Amino acid sequence: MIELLLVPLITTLVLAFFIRYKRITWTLFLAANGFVLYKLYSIYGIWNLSYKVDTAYKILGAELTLGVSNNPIGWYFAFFSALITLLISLFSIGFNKNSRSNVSVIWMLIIFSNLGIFFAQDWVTFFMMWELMGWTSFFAITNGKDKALDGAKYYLALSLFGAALMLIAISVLAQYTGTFQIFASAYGLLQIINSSTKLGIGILLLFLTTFLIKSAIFPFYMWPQKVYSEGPEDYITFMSSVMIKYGIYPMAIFIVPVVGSADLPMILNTGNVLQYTIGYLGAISAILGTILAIFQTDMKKLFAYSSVANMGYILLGFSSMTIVGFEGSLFHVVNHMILKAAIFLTLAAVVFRTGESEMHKLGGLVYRMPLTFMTFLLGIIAAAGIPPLNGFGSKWMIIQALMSKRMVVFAIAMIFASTGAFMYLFRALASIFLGQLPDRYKDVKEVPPTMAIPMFIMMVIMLLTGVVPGVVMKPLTSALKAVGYNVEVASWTTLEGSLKNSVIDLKIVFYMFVAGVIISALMYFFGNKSEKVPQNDNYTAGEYPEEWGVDADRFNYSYAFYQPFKEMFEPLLESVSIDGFFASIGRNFEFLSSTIQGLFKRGEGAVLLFSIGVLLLILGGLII
Amino acid sequence: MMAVLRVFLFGIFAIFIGLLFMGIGRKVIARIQLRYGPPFYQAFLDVGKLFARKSITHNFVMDLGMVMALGGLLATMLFVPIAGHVAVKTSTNLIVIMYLMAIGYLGMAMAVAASGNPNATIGVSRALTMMLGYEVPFFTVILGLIIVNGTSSLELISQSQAGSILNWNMIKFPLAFIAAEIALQAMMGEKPFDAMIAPAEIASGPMVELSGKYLGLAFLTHAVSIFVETAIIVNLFMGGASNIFTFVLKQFEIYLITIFIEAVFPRFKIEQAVKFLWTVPIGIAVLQLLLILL
Repeated sequence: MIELLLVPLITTLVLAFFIRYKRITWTLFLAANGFVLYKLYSIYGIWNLSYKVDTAYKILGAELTLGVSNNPIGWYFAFFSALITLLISLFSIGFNKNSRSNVSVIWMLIIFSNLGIFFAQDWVTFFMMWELMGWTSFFAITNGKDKALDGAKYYLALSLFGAALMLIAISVLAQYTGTFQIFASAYGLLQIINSSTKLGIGILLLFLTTFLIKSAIFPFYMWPQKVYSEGPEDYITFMSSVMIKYGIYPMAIFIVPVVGSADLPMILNTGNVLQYTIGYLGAISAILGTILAIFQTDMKKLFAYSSVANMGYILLGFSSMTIVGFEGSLFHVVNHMILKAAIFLTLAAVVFRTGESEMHKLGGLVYRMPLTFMTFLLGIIAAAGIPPLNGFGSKWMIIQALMSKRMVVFAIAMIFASTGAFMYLFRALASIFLGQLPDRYKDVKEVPPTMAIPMFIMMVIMLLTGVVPGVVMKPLTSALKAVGYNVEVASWTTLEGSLKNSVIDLKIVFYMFVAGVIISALMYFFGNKSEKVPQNDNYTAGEYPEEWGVDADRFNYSYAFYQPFKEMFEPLLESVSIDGFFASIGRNFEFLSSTIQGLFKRGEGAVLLFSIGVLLLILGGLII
Repeated sequence: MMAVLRVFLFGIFAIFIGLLFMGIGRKVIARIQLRYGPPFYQAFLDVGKLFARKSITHNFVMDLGMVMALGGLLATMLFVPIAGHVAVKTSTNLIVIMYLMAIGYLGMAMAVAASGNPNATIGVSRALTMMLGYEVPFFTVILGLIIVNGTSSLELISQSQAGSILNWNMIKFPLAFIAAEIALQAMMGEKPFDAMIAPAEIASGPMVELSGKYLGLAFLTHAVSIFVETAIIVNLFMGGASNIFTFVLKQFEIYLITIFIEAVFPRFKIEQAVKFLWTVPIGIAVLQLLLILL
């Protein structure tokens, strides 16, 4: 068990030595990720593995032991994130050939904390790993670029705020339950809620806020777009597919069991108050993320908001508190990991070749980068949740769960978000890859093989998980069974919903799709021949613009793609702005701190501050 | 072998009925507008002619997209029960049908956007906006019926209305039926919700660059989509049917309603259409949902 954590840590040190030699570092990075994946594969099913250090200390009446253990749900998260990380690191070798800075050292440290978070046995270890991940990602995002500093600072401030809340929650929880162990304290928290409800809910909300921040749920939905638009693209791929799930994991193992079995007031006999709180946060994130994604012009920002919407789906699944919804959410975690990684890899490839991320300045790249286009196409079909690819199964399960619990508002929110997803996904497809190719990108080439191979593998994985969901559902259901949930191990191709007669076989859906395409292709070949002509032939109605003394203009309808729609929502979005609210808090804080600084800088102020400090210390001592 | 033949027959049947409806629809509209109109089999002649002509394409995405469009809708069609018959043995899940339909639209949108004509892309952007407009009320209606029946299987919902005409959901939940009819009008892209085609404004939008067999495939896609959408409504509200002939007749009634509305209404601007869809049909559907839930 311990070597799983030691290897990334040692690799980090080694990488730090070779930081100037890019080829060595990225190869080593790939090798270390390969090892992690292999190791995770080999410990599947051995759930009693653990490693812990007993310290003799007691803090707040709770014994302090630091430990990691192989917990099934943690393994599920860790394994699939390791798989995605391996593919991304293969992509990184080619991607970083010409980059000036080297992010691999910090990244390896994040992978270490990643494993630590998923396997932590107690809250102290969890917190340490959480903090490590928080500040290291700050350096990974900035990566020596001044431009990225704003977004990274925003992220860091939110992370620190969240970590502070979690520290308070951990210490209060430890004092009341007398333990730092995660699973034991969940049981303890349940008893606190049942005896003194307000305190229990307070602790729960502190934890929940921390996790919401990390998973970019409303009202903390702003950081992905600030961060993703500036960070190095390959690292951002990792961030958007793996790191955004760090909030989901503790929710799945800690918040959901507690909320699900807590004895709280019910709403309309369908769910308790906290359940609805989580659901509404998810629904608002899903809808808001979708609407904001529709209006973006920067492709990375667009997909950042799409991630917010997807995290919303996962929360909606949790809020149903049924086993189908829970499985659906956890399945969606992996589906989203896969499809978001695929999409961001293609975006990274586009940026790598063109250096441009504003969608309306691109266009027609399909003629130069067909493989990238295919990956992107399958990625958006998966992201839209259309059947033969992954993304459908999990969304379907979540909707089934919401419908069977009669949570109609959430079900409608989910449909709104997934239909809205077509809008922004298609806009990205049309603006980046379709339309007319601008002259300045005439010489763009397809990406080199080291980058093409991971994209191709991504396509295969997306199709495989879509048609044979068992590759993910089998480990998931076995893990849930090992934790103690009452579930059957899933079959390879069928998914089970919670309504009457709602078993779907995705294999049949795939066959039917193939059948439809075959009939349609027969029609196509049955028709008369077609002739391939350049776009301008048709577009300029047979005239040669050069003969008229003008150049052929390029028209891509992509800048204000949904202008009428935007005008409908403008009043709403202008009047409500969480970002503005945070900014005003920031300004006030700055004002306060500069006032205090002013006191400090002048001589007498320093004395005053010092004496206030001493006074506070003495008072504090007296009270305790 | 039988299964393959069956799938093939279902596909051809849907295309045939869809084209027949299109032809009759044109005739009916003409008569309402005091014209003579083309013969009822005109749609077959059109498609035959289009497939016989030579055509132009700009790139492989256009070919791929058009094939994907018809393929996706045919696949959807295979999941819809027709008078109790389904092409393959499945649970005819409504959510699967709704999502599968989207792949056809995505293929179509991709093909026409790849043609490089801005008019086509404007049409697609309007069509997708409209989609968000009608999907939400339509799903609200479906949600009500799913909650009443406790299942999301289209076949079970249609079976639950067996017996007399009074068991039809159309009679039991009239508000839901009205909301679904309005959403259906938008789903088929008929007036007043045809801002995505708008011949006078954006030169038929998506169709502007299509020629020959590509336009023919677009025709067939439209025919199948008419078939699928009316079939869903018949299953949801009119209790399916005991034989295929009655089923098609019921489908035709539904199609006739949309045609009547199409023949006499002018066109909404896209934002007006979405605002309308998000106020009137959603209001009616939510009212029905509340009546069901409480």
